[in-house]
Order: sequence, then C-alpha cells, then structure tokens
Amino acid sequence: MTSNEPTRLSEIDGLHAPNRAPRTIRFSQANIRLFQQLWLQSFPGHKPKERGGTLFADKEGGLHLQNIGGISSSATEMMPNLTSRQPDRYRAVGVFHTHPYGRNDGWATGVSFSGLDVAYLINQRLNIIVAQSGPRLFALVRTSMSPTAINARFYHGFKTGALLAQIDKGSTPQQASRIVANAMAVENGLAYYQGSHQAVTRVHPA
Amino acid sequence: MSIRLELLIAVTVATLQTSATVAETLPTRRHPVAARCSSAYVRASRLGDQADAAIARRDYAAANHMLDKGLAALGAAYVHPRVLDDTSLQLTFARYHEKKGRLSNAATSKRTVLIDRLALCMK
Repeated sequence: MTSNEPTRLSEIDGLHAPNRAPRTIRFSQANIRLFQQLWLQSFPGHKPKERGGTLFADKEGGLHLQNIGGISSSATEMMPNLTSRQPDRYRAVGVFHTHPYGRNDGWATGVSFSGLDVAYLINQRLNIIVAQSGPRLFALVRTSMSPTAINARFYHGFKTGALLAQIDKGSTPQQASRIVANAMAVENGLAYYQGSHQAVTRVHPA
Repeated sequence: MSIRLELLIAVTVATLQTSATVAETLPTRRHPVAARCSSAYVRASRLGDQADAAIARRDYAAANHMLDKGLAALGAAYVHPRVLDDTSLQLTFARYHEKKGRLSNAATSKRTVLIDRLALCMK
C-alpha cells in the first residue's frame, strides 16, 4: 500500500489504545470533495448552518460519505442519519459535520469538537468523527480504552464549563475548543487529529 | 440515488429553510415539546421573548441577562442523544464577545443557542 492511499476501516477499527491509531488519516478524493462542498454550503443566505453526513464502510473497508444532510440541522447542531439504504453493502462507522460561524462571530474557522460530539461518537459506538471548520479538519477515533457509554447531559455541562474556563483564561474560542478536544481525547481513550485538506495528523497521543 | 443527486436534494431543502426564527421554536401539534423539556420549555421560551424585546430596544445588557436566565432554566434537559450538538461551542463565542465588551454580539450568539436548544425540545 502506498502512503497516499485513503485510510481504510481496518486501520481505525478495533484499536487497543490511542497510540495504536494511525499517525495520519487520509480521506479519499470523493470524500474530500464532499467535505469541501458541504463546507461551502454551510452559509445559506450568509447565515451559518451545519452540514454533514454519515461515513459508511463498504465490505472492503473503504469509507464513503453518504446520507448527506442527515435528518436535520441548524446553525449549531446536526442530527445524522446512521441508517444505510443498502445495509447489505454498507455499515455506519462515523460521521462528518461542519462547524460554521457567521458574521456575528467574525466568520471564525478552526473550531474543534464539543463535549456532545464526543458523547455522540462514544454512545453511538462509531469508529470516527470528523469536523471541518474552514480549511481545518479535525478527527477523533474511538479505541478499546474508550468508555462504552457517556452520560451525555452530565458530560455536556462538565465540558461546557471547561470551554468557558478556557475563555476566562484568555483563549480564543478556537484555541479553547482545541485544548478541550485534546483533553476529552485523553480522558476518553481517543486518538485526536488535526489537519487540513486531504489528511489529518495525530496530535494525541503525540 | 447518486451522491450528487443526494447532495442536490439536501442543498435545495436547506435553502428553503435558511433562517431559524423564534416561530420555528414554537411547539405545534405535529411537533410537541418533548417530555424531557416540558417543565423548563415555557420559562426558557418566555425569557427568550423578553430578550428579543430587549434586543429590539438595544438594551444588550438586559438581553444577555435574560438569555443567561433562559439557558439556565432549560439546563441540559434539551440534550438529544442522536444529535451532534455544538451549542456549547457557540456559547464560547458569547463568553468571548462579553469579555471584549461586545454585548450585542454576545446576545446574538446566546439567542442562537437558545433558539436551537428550544428547537431540539421538539425532536
């Protein structure tokens, strides 16, 4: 396999620990095109609206973004559709969504994951969650060291407090989101990635 | 259905639903308030309306106060297990704006969060 081939499910499935996760996750050209299209479509009428879809694995482990648009979305949330229309061919292994911010927030980009993004990854037993915020891509990969379930309401309150504490310490919202995303990865046995364009690089564990 | 067609349909639907308004958060017979929110919904919704009135008269300090109370009233009751919920990230922008003295921007960020959280009470 050449190093430029897209990452397959077998590389991110059944990992014993975050340090067994690949150093780099590469996405297929088809997925990258969809990620970028969905980002560009995240500002209808110049107002932010999250976009996304579900990452399905085929029988060979190739990852495909489908169920574009999910069930619903708004400026700050998205409900993915994890049900495959071809369950004999595909199974849901992850989700992708955008993090858009509008004029009120200076068209900010580079915003990483929320506490409830992490709770979704864990509670839905997915392998991977990916977010695009401007040119930046973020990803989290679940491992065997991750909990099997999280109390979403409790975790939401806990992590919202952590985000706001970072702002009070002088971080920008983008910095706060990345600091807290890294901390959530450490706490939950996840591998955390940051990058742009076609690939993301593991930042936890470094 | 091809991915391109699927994307086209998603974009068309989304374009028809571009702007969230307070009216979209009002419960209807088809979309009643979920039991998990019911006790907090009316109070939070009322505080949101009061914040809108304060924003209309450009009293952003009062609007922020009302929105803080509305968000506190709703608490985490609205959390939906099948939603990628990034409202907490929007709240970091609100806190950031407040620290910089941009009370209008802070109120707008918080209002977005309250509207979206109230809407999740109907899912």
